[in-house]
Amino acid sequence: MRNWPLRWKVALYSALLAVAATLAGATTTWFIMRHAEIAAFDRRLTTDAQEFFRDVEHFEKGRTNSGPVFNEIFVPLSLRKHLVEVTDASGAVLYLSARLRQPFPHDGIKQFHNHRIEGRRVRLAEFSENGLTLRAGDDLKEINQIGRDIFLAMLGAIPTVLFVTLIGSAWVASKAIAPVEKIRQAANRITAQRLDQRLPVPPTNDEIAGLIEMLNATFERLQRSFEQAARFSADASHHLKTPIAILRADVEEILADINCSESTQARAEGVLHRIHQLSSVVDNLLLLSRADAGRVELAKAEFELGELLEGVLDDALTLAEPLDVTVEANIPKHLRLNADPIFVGMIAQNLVENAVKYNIHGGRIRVEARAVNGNVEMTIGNTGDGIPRERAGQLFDRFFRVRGGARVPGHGLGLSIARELARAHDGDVELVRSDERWTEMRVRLPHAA
Amino acid sequence: MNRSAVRNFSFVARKTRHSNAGLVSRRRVDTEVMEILVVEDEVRLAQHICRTLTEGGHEPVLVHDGETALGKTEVKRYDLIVLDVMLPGVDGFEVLRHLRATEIDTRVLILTARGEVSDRVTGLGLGADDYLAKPFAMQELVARVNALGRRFPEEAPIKLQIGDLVLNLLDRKLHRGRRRIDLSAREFTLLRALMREPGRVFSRTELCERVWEREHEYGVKLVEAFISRLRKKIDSPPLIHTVRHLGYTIRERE
Repeated sequence: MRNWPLRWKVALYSALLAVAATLAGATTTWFIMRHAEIAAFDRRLTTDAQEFFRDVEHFEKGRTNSGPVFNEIFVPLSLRKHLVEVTDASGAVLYLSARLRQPFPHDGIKQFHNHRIEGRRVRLAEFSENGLTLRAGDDLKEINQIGRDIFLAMLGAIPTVLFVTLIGSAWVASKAIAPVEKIRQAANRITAQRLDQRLPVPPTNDEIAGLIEMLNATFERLQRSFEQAARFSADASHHLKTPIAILRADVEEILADINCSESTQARAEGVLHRIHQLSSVVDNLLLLSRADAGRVELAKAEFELGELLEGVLDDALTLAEPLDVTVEANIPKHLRLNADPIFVGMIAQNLVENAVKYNIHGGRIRVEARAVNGNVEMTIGNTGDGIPRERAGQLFDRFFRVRGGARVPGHGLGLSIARELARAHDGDVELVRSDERWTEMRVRLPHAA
Repeated sequence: MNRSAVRNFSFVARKTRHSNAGLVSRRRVDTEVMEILVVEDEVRLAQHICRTLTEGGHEPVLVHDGETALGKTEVKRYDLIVLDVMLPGVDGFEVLRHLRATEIDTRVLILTARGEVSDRVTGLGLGADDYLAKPFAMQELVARVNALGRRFPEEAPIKLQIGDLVLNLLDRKLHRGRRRIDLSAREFTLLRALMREPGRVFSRTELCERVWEREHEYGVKLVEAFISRLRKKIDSPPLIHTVRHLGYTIRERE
């Protein structure tokens, strides 16, 4: 039930509430009706009893004083359908109504009270006058007939109540939730690329409107800080690039200056190369900061993976040659990608570079690719010591290097960049296997449609 | 034999630089002297650009902000504008937009920060003719400027030829005389870069940038490896020459 849509939860709760309310109403009605019916019964019976004694008295007046004379005619008709017993002063039964099969047990209580006779609850009272005693009463069941009928009728209505409230409140709830659903859809459209979108504020002045205004204000702040971060990275890029460009021009000038000694020029050449590296580190950091902001710009195109990998594999062969490392490649033809070719080249280059870098003398590199469920999977495996198990978790961290030092060049940004670039394409880079013999990475990228 | 040839060339190259006071090849039969408006706020870089352009045989005019640049273009027609994107006040894009809006169709080369796809796209969309990412090699700037300066845009050649070495750009086949030479992907890209501008000296760094889109950790090492492979394949007499501390060049004879 936790996973139910809100409107069905609301509907169910409302329906249960309606059933409970109907039950409570029926019970209350039953009690009130019972009370009223009993009171009316008591009044009616008292009036009938008085009429009976009046009749007896009138009749007697015209007679001798020899004692009460009873005649069935004196019993009012309205009284006869109840339980009625008439006795004389000696206690002899003079009359029993049709429904009363045997005389009442005499308990001596005058006023109306409830009595249990033969398993039935009976309400009765005793009236005495001129030596005659009239006991009259009836089953409580008979008295409370209307209350019980109403109660049962209300119980019978419960399925209808349940059904109507269930449907009705589901409808009401969906009307109430409709603005929330609209908010959800609108918020869904607001992504890093479209942060300027806002939720439509309804013309009402209710809680929903307040919520939307609050959300819009949050989006506003989000957009501002996002733009600040993006502008910062763009500005930083420009501001770093210009001094580097100057530096480079300076060094190029030294290289061109024939008055400089050869050793100066040799050093200048080294500096030029360092500048080139510096500028690529700046490029990489900017790329990463952009990836963090979800703003990697992809210049997507359709291209064949094999053609793109040609150069990367050529590099690998060239670098692997002096290490006596063999490079095997199995890239099927016509395996097309829909991606940014420069970035895919960088991913492949970074991974293949690592495969060379962390290889052993006389080792092996294997690059394979295949189409899997609308994706292209490329695996790059190499012989080598592998990544220690306890450090595998840090593998994609920035500036993380399994083995540092002068022997292995690099900054430790290659893998994190490869992963960010793959993720910018809705793909990924993962470590599939790494032990003391074989290390394998897998790249997943979108297949061309 | 090769050694002496290279040394000899190296000497001549130095001589040439001495007389020209620059690295730029003077074999610019297809370009002419251009008046170039350079818009760059960074003074040092602007000076470098102007000096290089002057050495390349052009006449640069330097301004440091967008408003002045617009003022200059109103009174005079330049052959080319080298325009930095990041400028104080009116930025490069704004200048470009204004130029195109006032129907000034002077060719524009924009200078962007490297890797900014949006800058590149925006710039070209606004009507820039080419872009160059910072930090760039000054020679690269001259090469781009010269390319833009050509009256009639060159038809992309199908074949590049130096002496008896012929590179077919379509089928990627290389011939030395009648002998056919197979090239790997990188060898082809590298040789193409060299052969497009024969005689020009490329530094290893510049070749790295030409062949690999992004920096390669082993770039310089790879350039050397591929150059030596190319040399072996091309065989003698050598065409690819090492210019000490500067880099490599391809030419028939010095």
